[in-house]
Amino acid sequence: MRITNRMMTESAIQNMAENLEKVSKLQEKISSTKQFQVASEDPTNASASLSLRSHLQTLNSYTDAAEMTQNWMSATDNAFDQLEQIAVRANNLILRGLNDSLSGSERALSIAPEMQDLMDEAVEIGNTSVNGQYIFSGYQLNQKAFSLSDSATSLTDYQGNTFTPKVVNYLGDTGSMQRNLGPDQSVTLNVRGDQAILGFLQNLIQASNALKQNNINDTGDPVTDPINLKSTLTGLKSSLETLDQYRTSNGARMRQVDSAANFLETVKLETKSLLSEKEDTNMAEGIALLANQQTTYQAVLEVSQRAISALSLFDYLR
Amino acid sequence: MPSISSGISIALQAVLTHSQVLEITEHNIANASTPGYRRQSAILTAETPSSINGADYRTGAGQRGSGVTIERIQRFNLSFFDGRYRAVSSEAGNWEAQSSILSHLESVLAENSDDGLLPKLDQFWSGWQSLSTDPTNTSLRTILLDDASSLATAFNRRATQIMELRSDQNQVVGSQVEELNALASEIANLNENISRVISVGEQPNDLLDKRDVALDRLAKLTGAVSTEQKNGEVMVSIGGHVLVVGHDAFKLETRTNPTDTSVADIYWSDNQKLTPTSGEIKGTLEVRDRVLVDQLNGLNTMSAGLIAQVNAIHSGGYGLNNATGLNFFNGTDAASITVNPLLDAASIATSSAANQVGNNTIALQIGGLKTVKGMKGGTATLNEFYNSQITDLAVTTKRSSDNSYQHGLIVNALGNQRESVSGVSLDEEAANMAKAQKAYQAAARVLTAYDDLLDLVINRMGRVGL
Repeated sequence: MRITNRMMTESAIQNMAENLEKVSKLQEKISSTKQFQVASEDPTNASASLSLRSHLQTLNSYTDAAEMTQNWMSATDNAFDQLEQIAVRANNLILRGLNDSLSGSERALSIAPEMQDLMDEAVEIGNTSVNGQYIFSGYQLNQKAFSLSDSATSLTDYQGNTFTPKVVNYLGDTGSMQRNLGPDQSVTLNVRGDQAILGFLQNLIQASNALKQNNINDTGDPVTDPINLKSTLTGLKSSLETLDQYRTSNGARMRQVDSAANFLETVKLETKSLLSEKEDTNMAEGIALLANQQTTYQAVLEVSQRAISALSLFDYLR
Repeated sequence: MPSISSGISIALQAVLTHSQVLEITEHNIANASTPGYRRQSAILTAETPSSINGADYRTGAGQRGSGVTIERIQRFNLSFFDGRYRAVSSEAGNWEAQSSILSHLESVLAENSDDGLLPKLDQFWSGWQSLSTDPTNTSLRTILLDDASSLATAFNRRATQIMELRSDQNQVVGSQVEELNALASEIANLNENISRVISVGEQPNDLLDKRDVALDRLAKLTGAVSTEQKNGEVMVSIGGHVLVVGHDAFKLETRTNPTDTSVADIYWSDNQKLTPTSGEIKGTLEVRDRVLVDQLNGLNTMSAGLIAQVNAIHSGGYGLNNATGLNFFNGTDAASITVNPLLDAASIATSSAANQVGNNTIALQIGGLKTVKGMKGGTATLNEFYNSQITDLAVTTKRSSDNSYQHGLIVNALGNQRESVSGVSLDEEAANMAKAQKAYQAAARVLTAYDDLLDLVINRMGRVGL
């Protein structure tokens, strides 16, 4: 083939440009730590990396939700723990009140106030809040779950004086809040106060009333003796069982959330490593390739310099 | 019969011829790096011999040579290469044009960075997911509103950028048509000059070079093909429609498209629409009228899907302030999507019923739209839909840049073949120069010999014994 000077120069320029482009691509890969800057450099991996990133974002949201749910549920468990302690103390008080050797005034004046305190405490616990949200109110997060008010019907105390007993009101609703821990996995967050705690609080009021009335045993007359101290003991036992039952179910859900959170962490780790595999530069490989490409470029420069400044016949003709 | 004067005339002819050859070599060297220049070379031939007559007739000697002359100046060109070169170069032009616009689009959209549309969409979904875990949290609501409006802005920005790129390409088409018209009239002009020179039996080498450069450029621009006619003129046509015939060039013009006034179509002066088969104009039109339109349509379909899906759920829900029936997004497409200005943090609907602040059903449903296959007839989620659109663009961009690179290689190879035949080699020219110089020197020496002869005849003859 006949070779002209222009061919030599142009192919030298083109080779230099192509090699420099390769060097620059490798440098970009290394300094940005990414295999591609725009999707067209590697459409398959770019598409995969986009969906992995999106997946990772979802996983992060689920992790946040799981963390939030864990906080809420452990607050619930904590509340149940305290309520059960109160139940034990109330149980002891009732047993003391049932003691035959006590007088009516002792029951009404020393045991009943103590029962009253327990009740107030229990209502406080029933109004536990997490981040300003009342956890036993169903959907009514801004509303305390329980309030005490005066009953419409008054009762007669051990001395025959009338007194106004308290009634406990549930201010929440029947809302059951769901939290998503995965695309197809949701868990019930809250325990409803009316189902789990209301009965217990009513038991405490009944016990307090019976103590004030000095109403120990069933006299067989349902009108004058609606609830006596002895029957509140049975009531308390059953509401303690209810408390326990809801606490256990809350605990079971906590374990479910824990395992979901662990699973999410594992999946997140895997997704991250997959993402890195798809889009991150292998540094060792990249630097080795760059060194190699630079050597090539140097050789190209060397050769091009000779091609461009090659001696011509004109240098030899006199 | 030989005579001193005919000898002088042969020597003079040789001196003149070789100085002409030297000049041609000089012309080659001067144009060694002129684009499109084909090297020229003098074809020397012996002058018509004269018969020997008179006394020497039939003495056995043949015809008498009468020196050298230049028969013609040859232009080294292979028109076969020209045709192939132009065909490939028009394909290369097509892909180069597409590749450069698409890479620009891709880097403007920056879909693989944090500024991409998908990260913003994901941010929006996780905004709803977080809100579902804590529906009364006002700061989460404010964050969601921010995320939503930055998502809407991302849609707007993309729509604007694609439309701007489209109108840029429309201008490019306009200037390409101008260039095309200029080339066509240049070729028509050259046709006229060339045929005139050829008609008087001369070779218009440098004019042919100029016309070939124009034809090269025209082919790269539009894929125009040319056929040379006997009188040296070329006939040029694009997609079967004649552009240049003889001394006449047909004009092209741009006319605003009646259905889409943002772009202009190209028409011949006889009202036919130009349909380039390849070349830069085809690449530009392809991107302007197909790729960019597809991208914009995809973006519009997606934003319409997002608006419809989110609003359908949102308008049935209740906010913290029991606001209901509100749309989350306003607008109908990517350019017009905005967050409903009536929506404030408290009126974002999360609850499925009034007066239930802890009810997160709506937030869960909207957050769950991320995995709902509501696009492409229920086969793709919004994320998947856009992901496939980005990937489509990436594949198109990659194909066009790969094709542009490969056709570039072929253009180079063919260009080298052409250059190999017609390019100027300085070494060759140096040798030719030396050859011509020696021949000139020799002819001059012959003249000197005749000068001596004349001196002998005129000044010294007949002076015997003096």
